[in-house]
Amino acid sequence: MFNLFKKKQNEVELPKVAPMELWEERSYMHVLSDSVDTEDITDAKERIKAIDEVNLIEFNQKDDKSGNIILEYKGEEYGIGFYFGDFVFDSLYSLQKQKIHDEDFKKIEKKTKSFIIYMKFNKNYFDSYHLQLKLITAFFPDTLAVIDESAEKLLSGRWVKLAADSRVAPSADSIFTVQAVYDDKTKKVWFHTHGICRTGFSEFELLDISQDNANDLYYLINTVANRVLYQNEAIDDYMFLGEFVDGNMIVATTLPWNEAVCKYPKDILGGAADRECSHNTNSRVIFLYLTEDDANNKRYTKPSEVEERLINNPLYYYSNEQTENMKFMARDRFGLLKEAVSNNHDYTALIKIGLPTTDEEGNIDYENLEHIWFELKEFNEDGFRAVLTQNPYRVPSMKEGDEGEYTICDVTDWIVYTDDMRIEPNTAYLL
Amino acid sequence: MELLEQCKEWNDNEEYKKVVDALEILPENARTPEMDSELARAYNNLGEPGDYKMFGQALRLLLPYEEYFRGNHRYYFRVAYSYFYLDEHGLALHYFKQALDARPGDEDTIDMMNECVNRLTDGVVEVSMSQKLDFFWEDTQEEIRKYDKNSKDYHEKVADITADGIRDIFQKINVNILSDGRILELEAGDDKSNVFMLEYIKDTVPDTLRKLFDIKVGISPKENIKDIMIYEDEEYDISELRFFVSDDRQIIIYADEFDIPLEVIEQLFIDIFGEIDLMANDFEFDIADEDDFNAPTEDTCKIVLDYNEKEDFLKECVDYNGLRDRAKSKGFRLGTSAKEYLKMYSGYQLQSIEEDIREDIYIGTTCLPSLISEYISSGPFDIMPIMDELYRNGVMAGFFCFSIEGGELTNSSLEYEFEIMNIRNQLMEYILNELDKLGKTKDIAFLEGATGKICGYLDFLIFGSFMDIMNAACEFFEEKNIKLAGYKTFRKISKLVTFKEE
Repeated sequence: MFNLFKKKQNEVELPKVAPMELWEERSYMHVLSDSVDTEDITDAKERIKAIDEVNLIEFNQKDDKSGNIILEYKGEEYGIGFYFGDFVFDSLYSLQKQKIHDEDFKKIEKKTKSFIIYMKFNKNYFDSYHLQLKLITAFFPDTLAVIDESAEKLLSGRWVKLAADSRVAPSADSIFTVQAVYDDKTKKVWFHTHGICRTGFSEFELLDISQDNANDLYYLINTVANRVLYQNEAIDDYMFLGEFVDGNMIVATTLPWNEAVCKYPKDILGGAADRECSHNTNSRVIFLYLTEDDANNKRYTKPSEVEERLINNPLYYYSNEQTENMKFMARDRFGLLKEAVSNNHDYTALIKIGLPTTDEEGNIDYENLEHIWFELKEFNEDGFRAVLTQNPYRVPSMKEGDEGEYTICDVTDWIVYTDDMRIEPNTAYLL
Repeated sequence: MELLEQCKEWNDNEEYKKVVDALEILPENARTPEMDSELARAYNNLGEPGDYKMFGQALRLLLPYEEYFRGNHRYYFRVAYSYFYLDEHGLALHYFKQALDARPGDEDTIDMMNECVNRLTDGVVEVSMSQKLDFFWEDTQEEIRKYDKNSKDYHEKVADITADGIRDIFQKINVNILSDGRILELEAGDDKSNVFMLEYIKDTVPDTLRKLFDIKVGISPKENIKDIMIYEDEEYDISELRFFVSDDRQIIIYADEFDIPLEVIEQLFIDIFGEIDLMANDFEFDIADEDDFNAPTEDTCKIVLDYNEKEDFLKECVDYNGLRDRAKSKGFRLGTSAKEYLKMYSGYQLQSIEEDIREDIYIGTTCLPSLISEYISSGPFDIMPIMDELYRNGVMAGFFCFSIEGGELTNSSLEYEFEIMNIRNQLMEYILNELDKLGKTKDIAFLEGATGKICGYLDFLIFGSFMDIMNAACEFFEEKNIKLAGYKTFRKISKLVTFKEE
C-alpha cells in the first residue's frame, strides 16, 4: 500500500533520532581495583569456571590482555569482551553514585587504569546483568568500584560483590538510573533514565516537571521503568500504573522523544536544542491517558498538566515479579540484618511480613497476602519476635501493637535504621 | 537422548540429512523454536551457493523467533548465513554484526562480515536487473510463441504470462492487468526508487511485445469511484467525507465522526489522483472531526482553528467527486508521467560537515530523496530497506566522487561549485556517450549530485553494463586534472573504490 500518511517522497529528511551508541546498546562496565592496576588476571579463568551454573566454552586472550569469553549461563549462551583502558577520575563527576565507603573512595581517587568488560544482554536481562557482576568479581575479587557506563552509575565494589554472590538477581532499579536535569531559571526538571536500552527497551523521560514536585514525579518515571523491566513488555498502547487518590486509574503511554518534544514549547529543557549531541537515540517520553476515551483517541496529557494529582498520594502498583524479587532478596540477605542488629544494639529494624487475608465471607486467603511492617524486637532460635506497627486492612484478627513470632519464610522486606542511614536488602553492603 | 540434543549432535557431526528427516516429519506446531533453529542450521549446511531454496527455507524457519532468541549468537549467525547465500549481503551484514555483539571477537563472524563488506563495497550484484530482464523477456517471448495469435484470449494469455513473470522476478511488484490484457499496470508501491525500477522494466520491453501490450507505471486515477468502499470485508461510505484544500498544498479530510480507517482514505486518494501524482505532489494531510470545532486540542490543525464555525469551514470543502478539480485549481501539478516524475529533483543542505567521503557535503540535489535520507540516517550495520530492495533486484545505487586539483571550499566557493557541476555534467555526458555506442543508455539513471568541502559527487542507479560504466568513468577521470576519483555505494560501511588517487 502507498505510504500516503507516513513518508514524504520529495524531500530529504534529516535524521532526528540517532543510532544508539555502543554503550547504550551493550552493557559496558569499567572495573577499578588494585589487580586492575597490575593487569593481573591470572586464575580468572578458573574462577569463572567455578561460578555456579556457568559452563565456560572459550576463554581467549590476546597479547595486549584484551580478549573474549564464550560461556553458557543458566542454559543461555553469552559472549563477553574485555580489555584494559585508562581511567580518569574526573569522569566520575557526572555519574550517579552508590554510597562508597570513605576508605574505598580515597583509593579510587588514585586509580588511572580500568578493566572494561562488555556484553550484549539477551532477553533474560536480569540474568545477563547478574552474570556481568559475577564475571567482574571472578576477574577481580578485590574490585573496589565499578562504573556502569551504560547506566551512568558508580557502583561500590562491596555492592557488586554482594549482588554477585547473591542467589537472587539484582532488582530492576539496579539496571537503570533516573537522572534529573534542573533549570534554575524556569524551575523545571527533565527526568530521564539511562541503562534500559541494553535490555532491548527504550529509555524513558519526563519533561517540564516543576522542581517543587520533582520528588513525587520521580516515582512516576521510576514505576514505568520498573514495570516495563519486571513485566518484560514494552508499552505498546498503554499501561495501568496505579490509582489517583480519587480512585481514577493512572494510565501511562509513551511517545518517541522526537514526536513528544513537538507537543511542548520549543525552548523547553530537554527540547530539541538539548539533544544535538546526546539523548537523541532510543528514548520515549511518558504521557498519561486520563480517560478511556483519551486512550481510544490517542489524546495525550502531559504529566506536568496534572502534577497536582500526581503529588496527592497516588498509589502505584507493584508487579508480582517486583514483589517476588524484593521478597527473595530480603530473605537471601536476612543473615546480614541479623548479624548487624545483633552486634549493634542501637540499630532498629522494621520487617515486612506477608499475612494471609480474610475475605468478606470470612474465608482465609493464603494467596493474596497483606504486606505489613513490624518492628523487630528480638531474634530467637526459629526466627524473630516483632510488633505490628499499623492496623491491617484485610486481616481482622490483628491490630496495631500485636506481637508475634515469625520465621524468615514470612519476610517480604526489611529496613535497618543505623545512626545516619536507612539500609534495605539492596544496600545491605553498607551494614 | 532427547530429540533436540540428538539433532544438535547430528548437526555437529555434519549429519544434516538426519536432522531434516527427524524434524520435517513433525507437524510445525510440534517443533519448538530450538528445534526449528537446528532444522534451519541443517538446511543452511545442505544448501549449495546459488541454490536459494534451502537458504530460503532456513530463513522462513528462523525469522519468527527474533525476539525469542534475542542476544543469541547462534541464532543471529544462522540468519545471517542464510541471507549471505541468498545474496542479501546488506541484511547478512546486519545479522552478522548482531552475532558478533553476542560473541565479541568471534573469528568466523568477523570473516563473514569482511566478506559482506567486500561485496557491498564492489557493489557488483550477482545478476543485474538488466540481465534478469534479458533472460525474462527472452523466455516470455519464447513462451508466447506457443500460443495462437488469433485465439480470442491471446492478449489475456500474453498479459498473464508477462505479469506472472514480473511478479516472480520482482516479488514486491504488483501487476494489474487492464483492458483485456492490453495494459499492464505496475504499482509504484511506497517509494520512488520503485518507480525508477518500473520505468527501467518498461524501457526494456522488446518491440515484439510492445506491440501486444502497453506498460503503465503507477496505478492510474479511476473515473467512476463509488460511494461505498470495502476494506477487510467492511463497507465504508465515503460520500460523507469533506475535503478542504489549502493554498499551501495541505488537504484536510473532515468527517463529523471519523471512523474510516486510514487504509480506506489511502485507497480513495489513489483512486482520485493515481500513484504518480500523489508521489509527485507530496500532499500534506490532516484529519478533522466535529470535536475539533467544539473542543479544539493541541492536535487540532491550524487551518481548522482559523474557523470559528464548522459551517464556514464546510462551505470551503468539496466532496470526493470535486477533490481532483479543487486540487488542480489550487496549483497541484496533476497528470505528471512517471518519466517526468523521475526527473523532478529537490535540494538539500547539511550542517554537520566532516572531512570524509560524502560526510563533507554541504549542498546537494537529488531525484531520489528517500535514498539520500536513508544514507544520512543509517549506521554502518543498519538494515537499509531501500538499498536492500534495489540490491535484491540487481540495481546498484552509488555515487562517483572526485576531488579537483587545487579546489577546496575557500572564499572562491562559487567558482569551486561551478567547477564541480561542470565535471559532473561532463562525466554524465561521457558515460552516456559510451553507453550509447552499446545501445545501453538506459542502464544508468543519474540522480543529480552534491558538493562537499573536499569532493564533488554524482549519484546514480545502475541497472546493467556495470563494467562498461565504470571503465568509462575511469577513462574520463584519467584525463582530468583530478586528485582523487572513485565510486562508492550508498552504504556507510562500504569503502571507496578508487579510479585515481594522487
